[in-house]
Amino acid sequence: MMACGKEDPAEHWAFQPLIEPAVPEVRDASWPRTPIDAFILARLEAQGLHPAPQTDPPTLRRRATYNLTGLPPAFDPDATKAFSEPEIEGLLASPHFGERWARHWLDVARYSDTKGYAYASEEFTFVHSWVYRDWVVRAFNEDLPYDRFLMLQLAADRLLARDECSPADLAAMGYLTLGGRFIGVRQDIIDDRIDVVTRGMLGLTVSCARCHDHKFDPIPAADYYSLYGILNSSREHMVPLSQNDDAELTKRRVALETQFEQAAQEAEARFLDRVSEYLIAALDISKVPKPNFTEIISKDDLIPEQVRRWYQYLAQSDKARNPVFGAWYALAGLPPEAFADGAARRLVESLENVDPLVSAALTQATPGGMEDVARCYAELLKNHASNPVIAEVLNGPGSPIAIPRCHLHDIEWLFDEATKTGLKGLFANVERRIIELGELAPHAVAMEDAPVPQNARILLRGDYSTQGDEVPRRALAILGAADFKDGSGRLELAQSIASRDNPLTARVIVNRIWQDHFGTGLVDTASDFGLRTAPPSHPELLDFLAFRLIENGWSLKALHRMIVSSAVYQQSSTPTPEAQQVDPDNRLLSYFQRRRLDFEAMRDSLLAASGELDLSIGGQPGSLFGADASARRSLYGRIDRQFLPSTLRDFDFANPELHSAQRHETNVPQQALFFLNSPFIEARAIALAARVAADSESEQRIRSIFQCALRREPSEAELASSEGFISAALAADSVEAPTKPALAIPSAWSYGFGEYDEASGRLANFTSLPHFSGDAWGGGAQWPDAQLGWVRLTAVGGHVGNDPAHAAVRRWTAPVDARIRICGTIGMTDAGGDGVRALVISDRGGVLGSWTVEFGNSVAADLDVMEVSAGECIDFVVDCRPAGDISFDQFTWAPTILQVDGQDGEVGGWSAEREFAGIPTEPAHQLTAWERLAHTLLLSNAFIFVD
Amino acid sequence: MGMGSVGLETLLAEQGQGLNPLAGRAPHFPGKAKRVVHFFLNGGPSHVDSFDPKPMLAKYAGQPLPIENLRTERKTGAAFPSPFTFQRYGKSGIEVSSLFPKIGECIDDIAVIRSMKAELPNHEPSLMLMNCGDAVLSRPSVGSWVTYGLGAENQNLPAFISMCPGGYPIKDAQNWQSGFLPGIYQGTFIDSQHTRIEDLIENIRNRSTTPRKQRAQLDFLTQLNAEHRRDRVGDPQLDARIQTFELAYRMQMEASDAFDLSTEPDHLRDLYGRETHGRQTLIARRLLERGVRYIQLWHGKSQPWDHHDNIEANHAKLAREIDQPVAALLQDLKQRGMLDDTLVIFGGEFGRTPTVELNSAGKSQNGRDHNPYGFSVWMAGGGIRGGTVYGSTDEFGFQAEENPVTVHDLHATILHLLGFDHEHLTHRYAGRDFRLTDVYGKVVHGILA
Repeated sequence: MMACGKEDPAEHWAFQPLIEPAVPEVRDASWPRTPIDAFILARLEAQGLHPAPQTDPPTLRRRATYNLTGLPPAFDPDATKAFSEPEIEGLLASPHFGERWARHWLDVARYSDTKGYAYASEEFTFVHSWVYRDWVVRAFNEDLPYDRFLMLQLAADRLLARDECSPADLAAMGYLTLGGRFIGVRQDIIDDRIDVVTRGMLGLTVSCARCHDHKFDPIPAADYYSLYGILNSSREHMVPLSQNDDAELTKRRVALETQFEQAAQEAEARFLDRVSEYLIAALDISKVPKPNFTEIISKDDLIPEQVRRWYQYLAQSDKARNPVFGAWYALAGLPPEAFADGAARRLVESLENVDPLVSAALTQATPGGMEDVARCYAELLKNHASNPVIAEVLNGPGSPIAIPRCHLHDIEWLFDEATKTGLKGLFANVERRIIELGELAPHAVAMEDAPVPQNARILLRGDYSTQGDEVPRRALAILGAADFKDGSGRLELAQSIASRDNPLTARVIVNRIWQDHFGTGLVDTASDFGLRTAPPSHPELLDFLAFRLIENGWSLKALHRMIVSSAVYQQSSTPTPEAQQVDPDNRLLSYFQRRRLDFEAMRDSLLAASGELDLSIGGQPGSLFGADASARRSLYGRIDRQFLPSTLRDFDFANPELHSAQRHETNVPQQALFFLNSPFIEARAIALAARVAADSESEQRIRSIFQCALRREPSEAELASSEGFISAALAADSVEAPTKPALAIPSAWSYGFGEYDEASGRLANFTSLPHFSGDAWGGGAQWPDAQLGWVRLTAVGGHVGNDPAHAAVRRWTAPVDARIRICGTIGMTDAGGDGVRALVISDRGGVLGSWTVEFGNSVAADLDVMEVSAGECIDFVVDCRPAGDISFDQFTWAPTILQVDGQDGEVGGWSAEREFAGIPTEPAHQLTAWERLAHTLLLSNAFIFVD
Repeated sequence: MGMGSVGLETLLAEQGQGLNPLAGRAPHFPGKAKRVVHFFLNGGPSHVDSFDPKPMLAKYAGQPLPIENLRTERKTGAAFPSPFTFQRYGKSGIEVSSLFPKIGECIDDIAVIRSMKAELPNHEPSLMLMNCGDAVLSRPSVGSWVTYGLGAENQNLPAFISMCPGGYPIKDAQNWQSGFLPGIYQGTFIDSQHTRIEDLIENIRNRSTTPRKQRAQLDFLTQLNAEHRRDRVGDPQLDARIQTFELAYRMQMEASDAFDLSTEPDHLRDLYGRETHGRQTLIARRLLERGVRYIQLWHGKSQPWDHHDNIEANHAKLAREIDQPVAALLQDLKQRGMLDDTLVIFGGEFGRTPTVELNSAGKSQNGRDHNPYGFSVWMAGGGIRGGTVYGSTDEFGFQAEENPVTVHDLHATILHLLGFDHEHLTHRYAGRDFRLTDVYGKVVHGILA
């Protein structure tokens, strides 16, 4: 057993070259069906354990169908038919195989259809998420070799340039570009990309090295900044994947490009105009705000990002040979006093690589300090644009003045706030049109190399203001650390990952696939193969599978085939008593681990049970729940990383903010509440009952429900308890049906608006409010309503209308003759308004009380005992006061009417708050006995657990 | 041995897979506080107008400060004295401005930290820092860590609740995210403008089955599950799931009650006030009483306290909305004996500049810009020494000077009060044992009882 954290990194198992281990000898040679089994059995025999017997065919069929396709098997009346090789082939060939395994990969890829938190000027939805998702599905279905699968996700742009893939493969680069946007802070966007590449593909936690060398693994901070340099030298690139001549899209594109061009030219002119100030500011990067320190920048300000750009430009490694700025570097190193004695002049004259124009200007200027030098450079840049070396600075690739005409994301910080917001709005308009066009205009967001790649500097403690040494763009130290020369280095990085010589890549993916079949990986930390993690349970098996993967041309389907055909996979899920003693976590796999369906398989199975599941493949995402819920597979549900529905969280869905190595498995009552009460489940139960309604005979109908929901016949005991339930349930319904408490007791309360007439002391009119939102009565679905304005009533208060003719009126109609006492408190919810007028008015007796209420001075609206007769209306009226202002006129007033006896003792009453109600609609559909039976089966452990 | 060094997940694994991750657990050592309520004045309340009096600003009124203005999100100009008056309260004589007279009356229960500092002058990262301990990266929120560490006291209610009237604050649900912790530790958001239980807790009611029929269904479910379990003995996952249905069934009954204010006596409803914040705060007390572990009470959607202009009227309006409810909660908890083990936190994501904000034309806005360099947060209740002032800002209130307290220090202190060593409440993720305070944080002993 290896000790964690103490071993020599060079000796760490995960970094060793992959060699094919010998298949071990086992005593029971009859058990193994594949080489996998020999590795498993050898460990079991060493521990004195025996594998569990092979499970029965229906159980195995259900297990394999869920594991390979995420769907339940079809019902097969013949429960004895063996689970055969052709069936495995059929599952591997199913288009739903790719859907299932794509979802596992989307966890790795922190997939989301939205960008996460973003400023309002942006479009929140990605244009290209579903295009990437469908590419992954296709890749798995076509058994795209895994090395190529990785290459395309990291560098499809480069392969396309060499004609080694199709334009459609640019979709693969969503792996890099579908991360959160981190409100545009580039350092954090790149950090997320480093994380998804290294943990996702290599099982290394390189992000730990952002601030300092990795604490446990041989990953120095230099490695992090090597990768940073690669990704920072790559830019985003939005590409249409099909011909589309939508006029509106073209119009919006042109609007963006025109505005962008104009803004860029203006900004470039300002950059040139103030170049001496930028040069001076770039001398001390520690004084420049960090990239995530956001100021509202006006056109007149120096733009911090432009200072940082100059800093990076000037900090490049070929300082000495730069014909323009070679002298700048040399002079910047002089102590200030050296300028006085002509040292600057002597220094410039001694430099070799400096362009004569530059050295002449500098010696002539006899600078007294860097400010003078900067001014001299400014003159040079402004007055000698036609000089080739100056033109290179002004317009050449990698120029610190010119703004690249590229994806707005990559250069947005070079603009002042107003310009940036304007451009982002125009860019969002383009994105919105692409989203509207959907499948008519699929787009990828790929990456491309910047024309002049730049190495990064190590940021000490990850802090931009403390820059350390420059590091070359290269592979991780532990993987050879060869310097990359080709463009950004992204292609070479991809090659170094998708390589048979990389000891991690194959091990990591076979372990992920093992984990998704067995519940736990051979390495139980699927995205961390570092020194501090537990060693593999079966190291030789891991290497064997990784080796075989490569030998099989990186075919993942071959790997699945071997796993599903193995004896260890086909074991029963019943542990022996010894196994529970010796190996309680079942790391040795002496039985198959029973598992609960994950969220997607669960939702798909519910729709499959009711016969509603729509199995069409690909396309834009739809809603998972709610009135417009899609009946398509859960894979096609819209994933919003900013507002992830709580149901997904309750069911342990992968957090789309971050790369996810494995899903948590929790057991909480929120899950049960979903099953018991969610409209989604009820709708499935109703549909399932309807599906079998043709079976007139009770036993057959029960059998049919079992066949639909569990894909098997009920056992005798299940049949008996179902019959018991249904007869009791039918009896219960027949008892309750005739009484049908459909019409609730009419409420004493109603909700409207009207006008208080001072002259008569009465309410001049009462009109019911037309719309109920679920919490409030008001003018319409929007509040304020276009016609009726702000008037509104809730359980506890409301809002006055726009004028005294629209006073909010809560009306109580006496159901009986009664002695009553009215109590309540009137207050304002918001400070700042001029207060409201409140009245209690009887349609028989006129005004019973009136008050003026201001914020902070709530009043007790209590009235003494009075007599009312049945049908009398007591109105609780609130208005904005004659000629009053209606801002902040939201009030609280939920009166209580107490019924009292002759001695004024309380005998009952009415509460505006408790009895507040909406439109007296038809009562909700009550589940019938059969629907409740169907519903209960969907809640059962038999439905949700897979043996 | 505490859970820190072994990691909570190990502890859970030892107890058997599939067990309730919200089961109540003991912290590292007995904490003074068992639950937390955090008034979040989102947008950034001004410290120099509330809990950190700066008479020097009056001396320089309208003049540039003798120090250089620190760089903030926008440009600021001359010294801007507080338009509010300060008054000494209680035995401790701590000064509180006329914005918060009722909180002032409770000052002897309160420890004011006047030397808080954050990192950046923007709302988004500062909200993340205050709530999750990291300005940028997706990390679990304080409430999630606390729930992860302590579990729930009441299984029938969410353990961590964030209430905000009218909608989400800026950064939305990320403010109460569980990050890399299991999703169940995420805060449950409640728009406290709603009044119906089904709008407050998802799936809490069933409109299509009567309770009696639902009970019959559950009994039938029990039979089916027993049958299923018969030849699958010894699998704790199966039993754990069966349990959750019984829990959920009870939750339906009990959760409604917690949100029903109609049973509160009139004098208490008046004490809290009948307005939005009085209501929200009184609901919070009912939830605390029922064992909810961590409650955030946000002032309102978006960033209401963000007063770049006309701070006098705007701050006065918002302060009036919460002064009474906050003071009422302190009194009510005290009267119930709950203040001893309930930690009350009050503050925003940063403070505001002592200098006046200038618009693009360089004109005064009569407001203040964001200030992460120095601001005030106060705490009261469980384990806090009331009537305390800790630390100070410079003479103008621009930046923390004496005993600066970082947000990490604040978090370390909150965890300490709940019984955790902040360096040992960890979760293994991505190759590292992560903690709320990352590699920072010192407990602020000066405010502890």
